[in-house]
Amino acid sequence: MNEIKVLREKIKKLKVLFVDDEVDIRNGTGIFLRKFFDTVVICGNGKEGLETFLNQQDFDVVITDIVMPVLDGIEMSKEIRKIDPQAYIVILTASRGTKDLEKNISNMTLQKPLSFEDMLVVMNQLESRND
Amino acid sequence: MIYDKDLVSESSQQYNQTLTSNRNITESSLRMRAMAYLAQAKANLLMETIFEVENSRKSIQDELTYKDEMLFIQSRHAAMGEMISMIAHQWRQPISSISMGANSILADIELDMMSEDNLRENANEIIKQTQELSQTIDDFRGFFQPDKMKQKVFVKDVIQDTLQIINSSLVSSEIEVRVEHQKENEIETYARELMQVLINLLNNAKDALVQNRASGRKILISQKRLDDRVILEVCDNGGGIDEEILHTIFEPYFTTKSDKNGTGLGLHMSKTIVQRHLLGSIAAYNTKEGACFKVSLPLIGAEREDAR
Repeated sequence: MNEIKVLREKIKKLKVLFVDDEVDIRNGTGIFLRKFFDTVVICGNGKEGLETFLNQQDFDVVITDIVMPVLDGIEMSKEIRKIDPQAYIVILTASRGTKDLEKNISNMTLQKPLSFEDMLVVMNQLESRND
Repeated sequence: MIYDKDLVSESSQQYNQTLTSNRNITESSLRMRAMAYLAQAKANLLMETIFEVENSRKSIQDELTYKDEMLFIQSRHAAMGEMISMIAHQWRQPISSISMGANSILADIELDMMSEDNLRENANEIIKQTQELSQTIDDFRGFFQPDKMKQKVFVKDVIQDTLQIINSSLVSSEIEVRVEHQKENEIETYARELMQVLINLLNNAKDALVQNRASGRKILISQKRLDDRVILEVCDNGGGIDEEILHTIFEPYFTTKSDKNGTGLGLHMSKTIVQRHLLGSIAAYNTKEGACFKVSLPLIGAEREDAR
């Protein structure tokens, strides 16, 4: 087994909540994320995401878009932080420059679209947290 | 020689008179000359002034044409910037899909999950999205070609072509666009210039909505026939325009936008295009919810009737 597969075995049981308002991104990135994690729940906006998080409460990882109707990704992340300070939150941004801005809210800010390289970084961080 | 004293005195008086009169003549001629000089000087001065006025009028005119030119250049640059941002919006989605397709293939390889079906699906998705990118280029290239002559177009087609270019940027600002077509109105016009005006009005509506409204952002584009004209309206629910500035919005360099995008030229150019090139009129008014821009253009039928 190669290194990446070993890494994936270690983190695949983590439960992921993925939030994005664009259908195409939701489908594309959703399918992509399911290659790494066994459980990926997908929501269409911040309010939906927060409600899902409240209902299930057992998510380990939250990956979210910023700009969304009803409740945006940053406000949702702040709420989720209040409920579960240990949640690992990844914020996806469409623009450059927001990288350092949200450091205290998210564990990581990545530029859209999510890439395989990004996933390696995320997986490594998740693994070192679990150790 | 006998001097008649009287005579002498008379003659001397005469002489004196002559002298006096001569002096008078000299004086008056001098005075006249002086006056003539003065008049000449005044005339010269006047000529100079006229010349100066003429000159300064000319230079004002020169400056105006220069300013007009600068205005056009600046507005073209602003339009260019808007175009680039519209292309960026249009491309974001396909680029993201292409990237996702390639990353999926990579993940499949590394995680030993490769299957022919997945590969084919990803490759097809990438091909489909590259066609989207090409389509955008074609749309914009078409827009940039100048109108050589007026052409007959349906107003609804111009609206559709405009939305093709700008819709992504409206959608990404969470704006719902509704189009109302009342009739098959046909006009003879410079279609791309009309598109430029529409794009400008839509961008303004978008900026107002993003600035003033968190949700439920709406734009309504409508067209209806009124006698021998077609009335094209772009209305938003973005709060409207301050009544105090409503009469100044078409003036050059007037802007309420604080960011770099606000050159204050968009509406001025739109008015110039509509009035001078499209032979129509443009006006703005407020509704309960927001602002409306009304463009009135001559219908084809109307021109034919005039010709008869």
